[in-house]
Amino acid sequence: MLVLLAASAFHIAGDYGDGTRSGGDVFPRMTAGAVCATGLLALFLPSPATERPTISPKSLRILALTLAFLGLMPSIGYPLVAPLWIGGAMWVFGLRNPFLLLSIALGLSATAWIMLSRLAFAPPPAGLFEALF
Amino acid sequence: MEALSIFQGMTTVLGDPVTLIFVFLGVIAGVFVGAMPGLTATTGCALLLPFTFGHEPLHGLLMLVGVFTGGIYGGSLSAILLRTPGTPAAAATMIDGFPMSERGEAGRAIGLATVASFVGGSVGAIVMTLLAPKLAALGLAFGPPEFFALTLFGLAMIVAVSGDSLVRGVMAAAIGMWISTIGFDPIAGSSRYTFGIRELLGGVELIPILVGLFGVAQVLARAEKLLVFPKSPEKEKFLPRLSDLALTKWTAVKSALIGVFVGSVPGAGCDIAAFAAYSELKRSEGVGSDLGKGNPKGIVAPEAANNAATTGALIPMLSLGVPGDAVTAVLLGALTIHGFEPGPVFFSSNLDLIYALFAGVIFAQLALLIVGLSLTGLFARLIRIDQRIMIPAILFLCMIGSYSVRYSLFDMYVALIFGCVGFLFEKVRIPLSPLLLGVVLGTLSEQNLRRSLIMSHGDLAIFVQRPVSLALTAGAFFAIVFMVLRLRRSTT
Repeated sequence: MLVLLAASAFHIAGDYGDGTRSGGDVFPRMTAGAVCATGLLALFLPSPATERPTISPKSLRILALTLAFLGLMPSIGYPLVAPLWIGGAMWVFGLRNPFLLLSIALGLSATAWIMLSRLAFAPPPAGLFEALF
Repeated sequence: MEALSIFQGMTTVLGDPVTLIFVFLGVIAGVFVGAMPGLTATTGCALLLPFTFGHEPLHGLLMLVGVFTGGIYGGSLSAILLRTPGTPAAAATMIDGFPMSERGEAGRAIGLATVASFVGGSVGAIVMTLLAPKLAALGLAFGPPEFFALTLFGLAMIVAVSGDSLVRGVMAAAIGMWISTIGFDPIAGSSRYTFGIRELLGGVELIPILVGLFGVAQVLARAEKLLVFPKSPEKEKFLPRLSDLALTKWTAVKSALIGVFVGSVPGAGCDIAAFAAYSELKRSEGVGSDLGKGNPKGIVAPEAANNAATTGALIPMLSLGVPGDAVTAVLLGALTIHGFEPGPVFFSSNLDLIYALFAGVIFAQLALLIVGLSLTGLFARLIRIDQRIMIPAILFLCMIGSYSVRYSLFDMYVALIFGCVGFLFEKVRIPLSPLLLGVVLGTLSEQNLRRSLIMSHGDLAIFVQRPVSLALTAGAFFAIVFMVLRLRRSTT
């Protein structure tokens, strides 16, 4: 897949040239070409022992939770989605103590909110809670 | 002149309590991150980098230097106490550190590691202060061909030492350099690979890439295998014995010099420095020594060397703008984010900042000694924090850190994507350090390649017609050839 991606990047880079040997296409072509060549070499050369590039169900759940957090944040808002996400992630990792889950999820997300909104003046999207903040 | 500049730098650092606080905070955060198995000094710097934005460049940079110094030292705590090196640089410390811990001498071992790290870092900082200005003066004579050859040399060195597959190392560096081409063409100004996405016009931000590769990827790896630590030891003092210090003083100095030399070679890094010093100790102690069974010198040598290597790695980064390893690549990114263009010109035009930075690096070693001797007991307990809480908290920090770069959700997606990339690459043994260095050096490399080609009207011979450029290109070539031959020998 990497080789295919690099090959298409090499092809697209052709559009950035100006007909000289110092145009905008030189470096992208050089690098994409190198990825392509090394990718093909890696396919045929004996390789060091590697694991299968798979993702475990637990990692997938963490990824799905994070994607949901990012997808829902603009509409529902950070104040609700962030604690749910942190709590959910700790649950996936196996933490079951409700007091710890609640206090850490609320504490962490509130600290980050305060830092971003009060120190950096750029709070994350508040979504449904826009009127409150 | 230099002594006066160093004195002025010292006054700037020591006269400003805020700077001192930033150094201490950096060292404390670094020791904590370094001591946590799975988190490295690179992860610590990547996570803290966004929080340096709103501050003075000197404050932010010194905090990151503190994280680097503390992070490399912190790795020794878990190596000695848990037999799990917190960072790769502490792997050599574990060989003699854990047997001492098993004998009930964990406090003595950690005390020795603390003092050795202080000695190593201080020797390295002094060498850096003396050497970096000379190297920068040399760098002022560099033109585009020399700079392109230098970036090539840096990348070749890191590829040559980055793993057991040269092809994968080259591939990682090429991917990193390709990523750096996304966004505006640095010379013509047209956009490349943006596909109409507005957020990509300025290129892919460095911090989300870093946070993804070294933070999110670690979280995904830990989701597959959570670490469980043994119970905390009884309360004990983490101070070295005077007799140990007397016994190991020359080992510390010799290893520090090895460390600063190895660290200053682009790509070599702290872990190689630690093992090089340990090998030298093994050679000098002879076959009858009790190395590997809890010999104090076996802790001092790698610890002095890996902390000296932290300052050694700063030499090419500050003087030539070429990072020595992944952490200095982050520091280079920090300089760029604060509006500086690292390299010889930066060095000569920002002398006040440079010498204050040197003074800060020296002070960071003192901060490390104070933090190490006084707070080690606390860190020894902290590294046993429930991983089910710690890992989600790190993931949250990764996401918030990425958001804080441009206050954009897009960067959080980028961090997540690079997290998956880093996680999968680790599984198929594609090294991440060359990828990061490729991203950091990509733009500099492209600019200088194209400027050179414009100068020579497209003739590639320009890279071998100038002596410095020829030497660096040849160095890059021989590094790769040497690695190919070594790999071939090891497989037959």
